[in-house]
Formats: sequence, structure tokens, C-alpha cells
Amino acid sequence: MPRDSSTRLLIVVAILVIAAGTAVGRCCRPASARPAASAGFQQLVGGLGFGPTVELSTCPVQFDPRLETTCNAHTGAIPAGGLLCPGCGRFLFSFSRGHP
Amino acid sequence: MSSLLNIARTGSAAILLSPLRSAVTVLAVIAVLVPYLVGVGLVEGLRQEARIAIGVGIPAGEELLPDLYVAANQFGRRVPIPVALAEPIGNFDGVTRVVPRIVGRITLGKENVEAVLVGMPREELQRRGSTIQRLAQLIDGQLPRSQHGEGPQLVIGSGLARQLDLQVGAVIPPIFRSGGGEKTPTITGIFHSDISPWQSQMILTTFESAADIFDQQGLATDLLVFCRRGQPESIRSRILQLMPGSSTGDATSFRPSVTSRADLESLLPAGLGHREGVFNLLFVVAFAIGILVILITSGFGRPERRREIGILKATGWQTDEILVRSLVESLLLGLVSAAISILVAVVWLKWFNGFWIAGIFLAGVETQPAIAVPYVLAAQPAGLAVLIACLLVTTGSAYSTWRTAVTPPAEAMR
Repeated sequence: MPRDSSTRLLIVVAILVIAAGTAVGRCCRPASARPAASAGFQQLVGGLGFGPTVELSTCPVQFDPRLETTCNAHTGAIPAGGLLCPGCGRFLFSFSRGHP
Repeated sequence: MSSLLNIARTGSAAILLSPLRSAVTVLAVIAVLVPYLVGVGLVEGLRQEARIAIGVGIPAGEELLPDLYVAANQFGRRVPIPVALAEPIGNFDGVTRVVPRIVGRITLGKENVEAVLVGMPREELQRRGSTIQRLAQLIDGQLPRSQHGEGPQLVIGSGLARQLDLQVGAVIPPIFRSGGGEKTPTITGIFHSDISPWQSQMILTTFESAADIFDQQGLATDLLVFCRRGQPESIRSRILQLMPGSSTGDATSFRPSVTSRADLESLLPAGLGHREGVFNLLFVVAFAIGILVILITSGFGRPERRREIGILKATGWQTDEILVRSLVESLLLGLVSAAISILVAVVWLKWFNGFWIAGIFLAGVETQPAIAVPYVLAAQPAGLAVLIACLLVTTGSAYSTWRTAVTPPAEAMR
């Protein structure tokens, strides 16, 4: 039975929405093997790594707040002084100042 | 009701009447939504990894991860802590083990590739190696066993292995010159790329070799304290009392710092969420610009659109019916845009492993990541993306449609 173009469009929209919903359903938790492997790695190194960087050159506190007390470029009383850090400034997410 | 449905049905037909306008609108929304979804997915993936790194959900006394991290501060900065302090802390009632650890920054190769050197005691590594199930899933090769004065044995991260083109069994030029002379390091293992993002630039070796590499004997970055169940808080207080403070007047005195797992856990919502707020703020600006773009593409300066609405008015359509038609058209375009954005974000993160974009969000990650990029695309941001897409398109087109719909048909068709 021939369908008009608007019906075909509605079918395409429905398929896209179902596909997106399925994709979110499959990606709403990490792959099952990953947490176990990650936990094994953390046990090996005693718990290391916490923030959005994988090396220490930019800002150690962003790698792991256990390694440093505060950002090297933090300027204390200057408002938003932490943003002056060439490392922290380029991260789109990082830690607040209230770390141990 | 049936007339309303018929009007709504014409909304889907309206999308096909001006395919170029519809395509531009969908593309504008996708351009804003995809980076947002990828960024949120990476934040949540990293948050999950951070939870594992601090042992959230692991009760004290399991001895899988330390309960306390003891470090030293001088002038508000971290300084090395004497390894000798491990013994008195280990004698506290309730402490099961104290493990010194070295974590430091080194560079390798002619290109000065950044690396994080981690030194754990040899016995501790062997102990962990025997208790971790399926060690082969973590490391391709063997754990380091090098002793003081020997050539260091290293397990390197997947990122380093790729950047320096190193294989298991390879030797690298001496990376230090200590009192004991030059020693040639050997690669005994390479971390698998899918275990953790932080292994990428990491070098794991024995504590003894790490002390040789930095040529700093008797010092550690921190002491990892394992406690019995229910003991961490009382042991923390006792450690703070034991360690020398500023009152001693000794030039080598330092202020102690004891970090518990609860402290680290408290950082998670405030921490990653802190700049995530800035991230969201940036996208609020992007969405505002998106509305203006859609406002321009959907009505102003588009005589076809004005003529179409003018003809509808001339053939008896009411203003509210035209607005319903436009609303259905906008909602369908928003749904299509959000669905395509979600699919593109998933494909980008899963199949292309965050190619290029992971390097923007995670410092130190290359354009083509050598790690399996962590991501979790939860239902909440996906639902928010649908809402934002529908709001963007509806807000962008509603005003221009209404302006044209209240204009006399003869003028609109001119």
C-alpha cells in the first residue's frame, strides 16, 4: 500500500527516536568488564588518578588531589585566580578548591 | 479532535515543503548538541572511573585500596615524607599495613614525552599480582621485580608505548644518573589500553627502582595506610598527633596531611561538577546563539515561508491553527535533531573512541587516543538533549511564524 511522504517522514522520525533510545539504553553504564579491570589496576597502584588529565605537567592536582594541595597557579585572593592556570584553564571540568 | 490531528499532520508535510530550511535547522541543532552530549558523556565516564580509583563501595578492612593517604606539607605544598614514619604508623592498633609509594614526573625520549612514574614496594607488587584475578587482563607482560641498584624493570602505559614505539622486552636509554651510575631500564610489561584512562602515561616500577631513578632514598610521596573496619577515623587522629608539626621549630618539620576515602568521595559531586557547571554555562550561550540562528533560518527574510502562511490564511486557516502546524513541525525537527545528535555522540565515543574530541576534554590524551575513552551516556542528559532541541527549534521559529500569521494575507503573499 503506497504511503504519502509525510507518513514516511513520521516513520523515519520514529525509527530515529527508537534507535537513539536503544543507544542510550546500551551506553548508560560502562562495559561490564571495564570496572573489574579498572579496580584491578587501582589495587596495583594503590589508588591513583582522579581528574581530567593523564599526566602531571599541566597541573598535578587535576591528575589526583592526593598528590598536591592546590593548583600551582592559584593566586589566592584574586577572584577566579585558579583560572589563570594554563592547565586548569583549558579543562572544561575540574575540582573545586575545597579538596583535602 | 480529528481536525486538530489533521492540522498536526500537515506539520510533518511542512518539513518536506522546504527541505533546505529543515536540513539547515537540524544541522544547527546537531552542531550545538553533539559536543554537549560528548562532553557530558566523558564527564560521567570519568566520574565512574574516579569512583573506582577511590574505592567507593569497598568497605574498610577489605585491604583492596588504602583507607588513608598520609602526606607531608610545607608552605602549603606537598613535600616528600620520610619512609621511616611507616613503622610507627604501622604499630598503631587497627593498622594492618603501611605501604610507601613514590609518584613523580619524568620525561622520556628526544621528544620529552611526559610520564608519571609510580613506585610501589616489590613485595607489595608481587602480593597484589597474586591476589588480582586475571592479571593478564591488566598487563601484557610481567610485573616489575627490580631491586635497589639493579636496572629498573618498568610496566608502561599504552599511551607511552605507542608514542615511544616500545614493546615488551625493549630497553630504553638510561633515564637517570644516580650515585650508583647509569642503569638501563627494561620494559617488562605494557598496560592494556582499556583498563583506566590514567594508565596512559604511567610507568609502574618497584619502590626501590623509583627511589634510584629520582635519586632520593628514604623518601616517599605518600604512605598508604590500610586499616581494620571502623578504625580509619581514630587512626587518622593518632597520625596527626604523631607526626611533627610546625611547633617543633625543626627546619625539616612539616605539616601532616591525612586524606581518607571519604574526603576524596566528597570531592566527586562538588569537584567534577564544579567546572561541569562552567561547561554547562558555555553551552547555555551556545544554545542562545542556536536560537538566533534558527530564528534567522526559519522566518526572517524567507519570502517562501511568508507566502506559504499567507496562502494558508487566505484559504481560511486561523492563526492558532497555523501556530499548531508550526509547533508540530518544530517538535518533529527537534526530535530528529536530538535523535541524530545522540546517535552521532554514541558513534563518536564508542566506535571512533572520542577521536580528537577526547583530547580537548582530557589533557594529555592525543588526537587519536591510546586509551579506551571512558564514557557513560545516561538517560538524563539524553532526555535533556531532546528537551533542548525541541525548545531551540520551537523558540526559534514560533515568533517569526506568529508575526507572519497575524499579518494580512495579501501583505504576507506580496
